[in-house]
Amino acid sequence: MKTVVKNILCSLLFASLIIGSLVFGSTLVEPKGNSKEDGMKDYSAVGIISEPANTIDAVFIGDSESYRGIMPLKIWQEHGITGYVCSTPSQRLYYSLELLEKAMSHQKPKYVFIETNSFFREFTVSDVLVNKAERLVPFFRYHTRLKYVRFDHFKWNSLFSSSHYSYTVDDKGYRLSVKSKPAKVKGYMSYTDEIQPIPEKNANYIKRVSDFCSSKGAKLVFLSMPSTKNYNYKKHNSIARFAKDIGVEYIDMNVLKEEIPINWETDTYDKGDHMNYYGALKTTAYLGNYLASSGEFTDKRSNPDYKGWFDSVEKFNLELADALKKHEKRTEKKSKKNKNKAESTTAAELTAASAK
Amino acid sequence: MFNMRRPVVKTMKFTDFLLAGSLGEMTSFSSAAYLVIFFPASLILYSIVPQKAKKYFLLIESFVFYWLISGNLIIYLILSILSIHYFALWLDRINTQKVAAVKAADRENRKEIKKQYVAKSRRVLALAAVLHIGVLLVLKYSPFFTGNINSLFEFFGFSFRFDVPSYLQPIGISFFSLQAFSYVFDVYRGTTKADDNIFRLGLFMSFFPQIVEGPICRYEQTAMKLWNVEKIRYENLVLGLERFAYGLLKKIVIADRLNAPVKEMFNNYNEYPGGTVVIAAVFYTIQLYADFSGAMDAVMGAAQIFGVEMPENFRRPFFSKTISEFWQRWHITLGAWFRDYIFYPVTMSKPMKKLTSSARKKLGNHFGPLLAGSIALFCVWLCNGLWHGAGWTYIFFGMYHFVLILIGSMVAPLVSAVNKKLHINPEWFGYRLIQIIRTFVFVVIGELFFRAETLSDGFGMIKKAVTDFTFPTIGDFLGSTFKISHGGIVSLGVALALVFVISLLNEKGVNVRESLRKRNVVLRWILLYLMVMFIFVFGAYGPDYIPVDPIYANF
Repeated sequence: MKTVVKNILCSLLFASLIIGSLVFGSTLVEPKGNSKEDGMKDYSAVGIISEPANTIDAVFIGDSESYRGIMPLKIWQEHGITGYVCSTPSQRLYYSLELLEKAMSHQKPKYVFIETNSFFREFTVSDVLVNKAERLVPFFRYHTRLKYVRFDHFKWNSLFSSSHYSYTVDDKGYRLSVKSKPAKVKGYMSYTDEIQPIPEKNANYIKRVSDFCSSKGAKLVFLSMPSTKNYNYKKHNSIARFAKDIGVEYIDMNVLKEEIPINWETDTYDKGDHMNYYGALKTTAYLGNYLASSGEFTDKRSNPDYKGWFDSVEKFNLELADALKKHEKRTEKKSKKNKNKAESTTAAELTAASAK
Repeated sequence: MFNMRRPVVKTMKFTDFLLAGSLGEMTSFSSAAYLVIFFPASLILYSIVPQKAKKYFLLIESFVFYWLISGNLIIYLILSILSIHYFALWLDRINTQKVAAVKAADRENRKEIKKQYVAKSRRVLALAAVLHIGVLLVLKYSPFFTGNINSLFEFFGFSFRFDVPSYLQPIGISFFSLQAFSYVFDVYRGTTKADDNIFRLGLFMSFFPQIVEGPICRYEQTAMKLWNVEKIRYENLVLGLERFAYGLLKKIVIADRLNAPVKEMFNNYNEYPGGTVVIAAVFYTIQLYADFSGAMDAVMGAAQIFGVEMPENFRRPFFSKTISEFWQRWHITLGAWFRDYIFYPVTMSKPMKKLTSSARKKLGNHFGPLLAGSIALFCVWLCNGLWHGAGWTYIFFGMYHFVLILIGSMVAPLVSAVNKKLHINPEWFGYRLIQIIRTFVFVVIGELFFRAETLSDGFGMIKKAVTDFTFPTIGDFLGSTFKISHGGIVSLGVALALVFVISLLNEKGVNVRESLRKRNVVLRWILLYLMVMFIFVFGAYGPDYIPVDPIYANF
């Protein structure tokens, strides 16, 4: 009996020690700020938490398709509507829901756009479990930050100091690229009545996203950004039907060829996978008009509380100018190199011909 | 118009209950689904079930596990169990008939009758082999063979081409097929009695901790132990958890940490100096060991919790002094299978015996038997290479070891003569150390080909290592290119040092686990706590890491 009690006590002590250590470790490694330097994971997408409360009109979630193709600052400039792109590379739907919950804890957007590429990105039960564990115990997400822990972090004040999420992202989640790599468009969006089924696990998460938006009074819209690599008519059919089934509006930019005239020679930066700046201008213009025409938003450009948005525009313009300059230099260097190569080839050919 | 026949959401069918096949990630014992859901749930439910039903429950758990990771492909496992059950009973019946017939026959006819029954048994065994090894051959090797035949056609200018088939391969088939065949073979030669209990046989074949990556057990080793499982005892629980955690440490802290740099270096070896190739090959060898032996620790640990002792698959292979010894310490159960079911049957066959006796007369007592032995050894290493995968790199891997072992056997007398002449004591530490290092170098070269995408990549890497042997600077090596940080190197170093010290102590005859078992229970829990925290702190998991898929599960 004594041994049994001892064994049970040891087991309990073991479990409590593990849990205690993880909780303590979490306080040590969890970022106290939300910038890249603070070590915040997906700081650009998570940046929405430092926007002033209830100032964002539209939230965009999804993967790289959305952060490469949607420029909230342009929508601001044109219509005075505020938006934020909470997108991350290869975003899975369980993470979309986490980011949305995070965003909606401070914001009351009227519109939520979910980019649909993630509808077909499969994930495992383990992925979901790990995500849940990371949310519950931040140590699992940030354990690699232990290398930054210093002695003074163990002080009471440091350990239990509250987090300061004050870092605002000037691009509002957009990621700029001015490079161009033409896409092959053969077969892109060829009509078919076939469908590509959405995996059931994914469909469940989309429904959860939809329910969550309804509970917060936000209108959910499915959004497919133009992409020759990721979209086809089979996917379009299946998303359209699913959207109809659960009563959600669907915008597929891949079929709106007249409204959004993408030039696949110049508007993509990686052979049709993502939009570059020029493509993003077109897709954003459409989205801006869509939001403005809904009649649900007031123009906030004259509101002094939103002055920071103009500062962000200025910073973005500087970033854009810098990127264009660098790109121009790169292109010049490349064309010079190609010219030299062509010249040396011609010279070699001439020499060979004369030798003959 | 949409196609109305197909649903827009890929829904689960009735037959897909329990999410059939949708927990494929559980092939890795370090996956969250296995660690957090399946394994704890299986232990808790097993504890609740009454003692009499435990063995049946373990069988059900094992089938559910296989169903979850493989879905409908479970049919291969079921057919395998059913067929070996009836083949073994058939062989048993022939044996009984033989005994009765021999008893009833005249003395002159006995030999003839025996011969007839042996031939009959052999035919049944051949049929079992064709079914088991044949299915394995079709599923695993037919794409490779047809692809190569097509290449030959192309080479000779024929326009005809075979369709290259593509089959879904059931997880663990390379392991359970060998296990199944060994059972039928043992019944054939009379070393094992045919089991009339199909459930016991089913549990022997399907025990869930073991089915993905082995070890490849014999019926006599585990069938009865599994069938006589008892309640979970505290002592077994602690010992099993310790071993399981040690396996996790090897997998998460070492193998997964090395995944990104190994991938990068093997995929883009041309972009790095030759020294990087050497580092890549060493890293991969360590990764393979940590991944596979870690999985084995987890299997042993899980089995121990159920009170079952499994045969060891590793015995500190990097302390081997020869390649031959290395293969007696690495993947021991596979080596033993090849020894018992290929090497011995080939060497003991009539033509080989004849060859040995005539060769002994001409070549002497050392080289004479070596001739037949080398033919058997060739068969073993060809099969060993092919067992690991259908590809020329694997065949080369097998042949490489065949040549090394053969040379080792041939020069053994010469080496010992030279040692004698030079008064070198083979037991001298320095001599043994050189032997160990030499063996390690040979192993690393072999693993380089084993991991290379193609044979020409393997040779390209060797060429690079020889002709451009410069090492990258530490600055080039660390950082974003190889996705391994200073901290990562430190944690890797600490984990490797820990594994090395434990291995060294075991090698020196100190049974680390046994001496731990004798210690105070509080101290053992503290050690387990430290091990778990070590994994949590130094493990390569989370958003920045992609864990390595269980390497041997694909073989």
